[in-house]
Amino acid sequence: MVDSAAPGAAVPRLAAAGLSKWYGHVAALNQVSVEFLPGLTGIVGDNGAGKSTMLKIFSGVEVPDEGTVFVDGAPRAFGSAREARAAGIESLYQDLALVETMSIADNIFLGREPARQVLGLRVIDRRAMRREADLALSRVRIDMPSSRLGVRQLSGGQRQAVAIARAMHFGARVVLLDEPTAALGPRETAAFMSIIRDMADREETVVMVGHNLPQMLELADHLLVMRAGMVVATLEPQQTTLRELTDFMVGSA
Amino acid sequence: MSEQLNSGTRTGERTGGPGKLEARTTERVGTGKPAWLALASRDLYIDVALVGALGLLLVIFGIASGGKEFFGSNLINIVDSGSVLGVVTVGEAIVMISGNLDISVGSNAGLVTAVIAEVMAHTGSSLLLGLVAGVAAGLVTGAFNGFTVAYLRVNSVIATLATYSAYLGLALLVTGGQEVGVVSTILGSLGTGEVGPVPYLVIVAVVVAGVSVAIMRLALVAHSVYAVGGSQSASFLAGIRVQRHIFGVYVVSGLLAAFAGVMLVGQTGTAQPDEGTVGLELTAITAVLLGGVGLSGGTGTVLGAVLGVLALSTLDNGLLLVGVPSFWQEVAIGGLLLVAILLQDISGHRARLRALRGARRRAAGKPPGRQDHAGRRQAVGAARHG
Repeated sequence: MVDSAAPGAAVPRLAAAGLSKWYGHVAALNQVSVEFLPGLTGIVGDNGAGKSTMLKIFSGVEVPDEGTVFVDGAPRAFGSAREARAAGIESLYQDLALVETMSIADNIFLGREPARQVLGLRVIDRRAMRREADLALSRVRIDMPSSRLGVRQLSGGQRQAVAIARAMHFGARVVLLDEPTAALGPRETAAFMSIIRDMADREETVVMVGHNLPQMLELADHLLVMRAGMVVATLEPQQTTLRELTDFMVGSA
Repeated sequence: MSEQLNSGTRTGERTGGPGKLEARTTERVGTGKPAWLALASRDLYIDVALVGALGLLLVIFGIASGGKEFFGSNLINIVDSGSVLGVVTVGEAIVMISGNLDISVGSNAGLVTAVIAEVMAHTGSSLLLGLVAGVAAGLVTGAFNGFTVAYLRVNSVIATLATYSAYLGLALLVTGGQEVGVVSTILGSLGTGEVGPVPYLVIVAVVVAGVSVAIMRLALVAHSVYAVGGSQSASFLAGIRVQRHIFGVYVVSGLLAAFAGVMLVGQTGTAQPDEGTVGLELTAITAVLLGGVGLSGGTGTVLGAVLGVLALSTLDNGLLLVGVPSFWQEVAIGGLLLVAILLQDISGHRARLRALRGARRRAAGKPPGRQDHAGRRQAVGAARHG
């Protein structure tokens, strides 16, 4: 499982062994063991296959009933999103975990604002925050007029980009994406996916749940197919047809 | 005008290249405002507008009342009459910035006056014990509100509507429904004394407001309160301890209600479980809304709320001096609130109208293309900006 098959192979940044999660009598996840390699891993599956549950466990939102998560080979148990984030696992959620009433810089540093002690009070260092935020944006090659702009004024794709910049700025080991392009138009989807592809090319570990199968086949480096709470196939996108993929998803393969 | 705006919108949409996430926002924010203006925050506009409105009120009343009478010592009266309200309003503003509401602040202040009066009556007029018990009462009631809203997850309107009633009842129970006098020269001089022309209560209110404005602007914890008010889910996911912050704002509100209670006892020399404090919460909420703090949280400033208090007391004072019947004063306050809210949202309305016009044009003329999609989303985003 976590022991790599090939000797000398790098330890995967994110892996799991025997993950199970029940909701009442329904097993949302059933003894799932996975390893995520560098690059973009796509997770596909029908609704209720357990994709989002798995992502939620990795991001600390849900606690598994059984099994263990490994980050860089070390077993971890996350009690909260904060703990997962501290371990280097950054999540981008479907409903965008950004505060609309705040600026880009505020959002990039949300929960991790630079502060200094003044008269016993932790005072936020806005100047450092803006400077660093501009840097974070440029590092993922995102062109924004200013990090002081309100998130409310941004388009869906720009918001995703802010979330990505946040993840990368804090040295994320793994970035988890749950249907990141569901709310985007075609043009913005293309732009967003080019940022993701860029990250994958830099050997970052990116995990993405998605419903757009042609897109997944085209962009992912690895594909996991889930069904009924289990990983039923691990595929190489280049050697997989859309037909094969759907067969695995519905269980006729 | 609409044609011009529309054509501007269109060219703006087409500037982005296909492969890049270019921000077309600079030219799209607001109605053709230059970029630096778009960056200035909505809160700043509102604070500036409030100062302007306040100045306008002063000029109007100054002229209407013949000048001399209105200015001079009367200006201090205006601030003085708003001092107790101001302290309560600061607490209310902080709660509302967190995305919640505190309807119980008035009864809480009333309960504090009752506790101070009763404790002093039974301890041989010990001011220290009275104050300690009063402030403790405010903290406990605030903490109870916070516990109910943050940890039991009761909707804040319902929770504090319940405690509004409960604290008022408790206050009447404590005093037995009687007016209880408080004999204390120190409290009395706090309530009625002054330094030169400035009453102590004004100094207390200004200090409370100043410290609160500074903390809410600078402190990390306040920044988190804004985040919680803006989006609880995003704050939670970012690791901010949402419940603790909501609990905290209610404790602060309770503490400030206790301060207001102490000020009231000083001012009147009696416990005021109902007469002095009923309706205080609604006036406070009015002032907070006037000041640009939204009901949904995450926006506005404590400074705005304080300016809202000043606007209310100026209106009260000015109308009285000019000789407008007091019933009309209430109508005027209602009108002021409505106008202020409409003005605060006017840029949002305009953006929404613009988006609608664009949508209608597309519906009538050509089908919306891919680029229109992104453009419309931005227009909607700008509309929500308010």
